[in-house]
Amino acid sequence: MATIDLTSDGLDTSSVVADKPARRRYVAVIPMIVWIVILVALPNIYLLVYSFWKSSLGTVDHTFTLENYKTLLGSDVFKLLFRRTLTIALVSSLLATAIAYAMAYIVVRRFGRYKLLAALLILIPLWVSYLMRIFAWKIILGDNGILKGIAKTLGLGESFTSAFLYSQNSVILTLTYVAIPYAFLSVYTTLDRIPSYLLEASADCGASAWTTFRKVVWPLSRPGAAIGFGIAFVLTFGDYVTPAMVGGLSGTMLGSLVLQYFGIANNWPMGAAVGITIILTGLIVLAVVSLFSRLEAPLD
Amino acid sequence: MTRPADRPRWTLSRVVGMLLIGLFTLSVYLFLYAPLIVTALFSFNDSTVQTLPFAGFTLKWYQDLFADEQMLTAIAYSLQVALTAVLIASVAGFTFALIQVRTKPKGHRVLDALLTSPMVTPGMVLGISLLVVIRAVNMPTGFSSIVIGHAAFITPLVYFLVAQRLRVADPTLEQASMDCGAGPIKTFWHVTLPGTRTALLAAALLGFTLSMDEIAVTFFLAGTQPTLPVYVWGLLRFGFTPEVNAAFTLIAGLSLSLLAVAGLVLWLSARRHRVTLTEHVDDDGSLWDFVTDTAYEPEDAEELQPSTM
Repeated sequence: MATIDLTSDGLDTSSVVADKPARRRYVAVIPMIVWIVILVALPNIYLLVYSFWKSSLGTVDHTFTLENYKTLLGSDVFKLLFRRTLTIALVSSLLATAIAYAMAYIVVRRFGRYKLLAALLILIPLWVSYLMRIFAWKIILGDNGILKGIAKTLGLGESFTSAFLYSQNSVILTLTYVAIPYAFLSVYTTLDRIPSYLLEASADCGASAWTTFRKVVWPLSRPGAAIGFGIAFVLTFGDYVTPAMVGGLSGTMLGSLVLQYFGIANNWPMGAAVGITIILTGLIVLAVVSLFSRLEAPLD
Repeated sequence: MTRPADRPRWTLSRVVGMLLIGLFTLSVYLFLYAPLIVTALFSFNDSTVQTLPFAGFTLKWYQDLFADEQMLTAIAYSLQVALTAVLIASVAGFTFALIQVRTKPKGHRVLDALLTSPMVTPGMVLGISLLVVIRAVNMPTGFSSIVIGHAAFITPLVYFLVAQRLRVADPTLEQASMDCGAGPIKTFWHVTLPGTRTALLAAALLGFTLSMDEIAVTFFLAGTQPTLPVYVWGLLRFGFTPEVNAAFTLIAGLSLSLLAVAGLVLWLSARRHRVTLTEHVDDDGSLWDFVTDTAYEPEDAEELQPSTM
């Protein structure tokens, strides 16, 4: 406790007086570094280490081995789940980003002085329980759900409802739903920053609305769309709540596998290995996305 | 009655375009809100089967909810967890934001990325990585482990929002305060804190609601006593009752009223600020600035427009 008091005191003074000795600055950073080490670095490194250990008869054997990864790569179930998870996450984040982009564009350009209200209305679902939002889809899509009721009254066949019942499609639909507000937040902030005189200038130079979008709006808002997509991908790729709720067997994802290894199967090292593959995939996608998130020229 | 030349004409394609845009906007809002409305409606439906048509109005599920000891215990537990986690996260996040923005330490970009990384980590990854460490140090899972898990993702949020605010705030105000003889603590209390408390409040509220319904991290870190989402998760998977709809509806109603109250408070305080800090309106335009300074935007935007009438 004493060290924390000391450093936060140092922080207050250095925050106000610019010419404090450089040494004080380093002291001020210490609590942050401690926090990062304990809650970010250490857990992830330890998870990585864990994935190189092996579970034998419920206890963990602390000798380095690549066996978990070999087993995973040799397993058809893992490969199937990986491909499926990748597809589901890519499709739903692309859908979410596209919808969020169109929506953000409309809100920024058409809603005038009500645009903040309109934007807030899209973000409000983030404040409503995640479980509730997913569960609501179960009520809509599930056995004896609302969709089925509607299909019955309209006289649509079983094939229509079964396409959205405990399947990959229902997972994609629900994850798209979950990801829209996140993607919207990212796109909206970049679109809203584009000064309207740029668009007017483009129009004055004789550009059509489409050309203006292609040459002015899109290049300036691409970073927002890319980051929105990246966040949506990472969040959907590691999800296990949605597949468990609306996925059924054909909607199982990698996250469900992790849950199993840490739960019933009680094979933590294997679960850690799956977790590491999820982290790595997320990092690779984020790295690719960051290539697209660079502006060709600064806005100002 | 003459039509101004610069006003767009109502051509057919324009009307169709407007209709399509309107239809799209409407369906997106419907898509976002229909599930929530459905849950709320079914919490009043007099049937154990979740399907149309409605069987009639009842408050039975709400009565069941308030008679359910386990559910009430879980709600109380979740409240405890959320309050503790938000308190820790607010102090830590605020401190880190001050350090980062005001001292700009070497490698602050790296620190920034590392500090905010839990925000874009799937809950499951955060959950299992913390779990292996907690197991390694022989700490039992339960209240403290859940609080650690929640503080781990709420702190970056507080940090992010407060740092955003601090970056656009004017550091000369603090220097002026020091020049006038105020000590660092006095300056912090009278200058730095009032300038950032709206961001802090917004972050704390967002963190609170996130903590109240967090499942992905909590699932791994909860011991034998479940938080509300973990308890509900169990109900949903093994033998569901419409009581859950009632619980969700109540909690959503509570979160949204909390949000509305917070919005009102922020709006009023921003309006008061406006009088003294009108010079300070930044054209940053970021959404978070809106969340924190609701009153700035719409009216100013109008003032800035040249009057065409």
